[in-house]
Amino acid sequence: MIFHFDNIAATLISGVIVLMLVGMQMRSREVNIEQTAFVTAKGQALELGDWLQQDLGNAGAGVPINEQFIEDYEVDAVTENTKRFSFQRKISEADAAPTLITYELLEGETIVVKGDTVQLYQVQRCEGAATCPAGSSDVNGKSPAGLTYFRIDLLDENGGAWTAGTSNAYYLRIRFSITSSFGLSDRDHLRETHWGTVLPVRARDS
Amino acid sequence: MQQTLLALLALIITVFLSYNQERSMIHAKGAMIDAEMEVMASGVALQVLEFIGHGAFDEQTTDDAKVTLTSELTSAGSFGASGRCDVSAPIETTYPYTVCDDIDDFHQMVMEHVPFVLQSDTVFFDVTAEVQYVDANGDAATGATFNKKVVVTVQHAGLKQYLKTPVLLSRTFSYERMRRS
Repeated sequence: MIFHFDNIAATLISGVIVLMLVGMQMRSREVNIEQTAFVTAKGQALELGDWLQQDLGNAGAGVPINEQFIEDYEVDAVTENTKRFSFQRKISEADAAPTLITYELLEGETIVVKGDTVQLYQVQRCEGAATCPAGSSDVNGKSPAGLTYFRIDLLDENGGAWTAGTSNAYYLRIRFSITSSFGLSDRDHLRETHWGTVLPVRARDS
Repeated sequence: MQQTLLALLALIITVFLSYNQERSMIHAKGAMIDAEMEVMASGVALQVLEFIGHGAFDEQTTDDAKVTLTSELTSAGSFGASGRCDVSAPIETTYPYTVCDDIDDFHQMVMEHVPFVLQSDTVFFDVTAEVQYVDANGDAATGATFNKKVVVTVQHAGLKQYLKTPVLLSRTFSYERMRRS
């Protein structure tokens, strides 16, 4: 009889152990997925940031000093995202004249995170047009489609908001947030990764 | 009874394994948060360096004045403006840009709560800056040179600092490149 009770007790305890091991395995998989999703989003953010730095860091290149190179700047009043930013720059030193570069923010799909609907965006870049023409073949570059926030600010020499419209500001401040396109769950802590920098404007005399 | 004892031993080992796993997951999440804060702090540091570098190289070179000898430059002991220079936006109205108009005015600058604005939230950082003369190799110089190195240190502001180690970013500004032709 004691032998049977011993068996039963050991079986029950073993069952608990198996459940614990299964729970550990599932939790470990969740964290691994979250880490992978975060690293992917971080990689995308750093790559996009590098690309924006290279491009916007040369905004005004080839434009005579103090001539206007910012052509269009449009901000969404509700989301405060930058919807369109157009500027002139020479792509290479051999170019005869500056090229008009336009960044446009497009709405993508929506995702649900912890009951909240989050709108995703994608930035597309095109050359030679004030608005990007329809059709992906006319676009010269696209960001990942997981942007949740994209903002370009024009700043004065003190770092304050530029109030003179599209005339040449002293600095461009770029900020954006990217979320992972997979693996998001309500138990994840870091759902977005953020990036920001400030770039001086070249086409100024001081 | 033996089986029960062995099962209990296995249970204890499993509890320890679970505890260690939870600790490693907390450590991994802490590393992720640290990486995120580092990127934001780097952005703040870059921003501050850009604003500091916007000024003249030295007080003697403001208003496009030219300097040909290092002896004409501000001595290292006189670095720092008479007031508190701050590059956070909006700029302090008490110490406007007319006072903090060259690089060494920002020596020993302490800025608290510099914002990194996100869409729905803002993260604040504390920033300090040090300015020193360096030689052509980037080593600290004993006297004035035509190269000033600015070191910006950024730490997460607040009681609980999510950035384990402060982010340091430095840039050397050379008068040769900043001189007006």
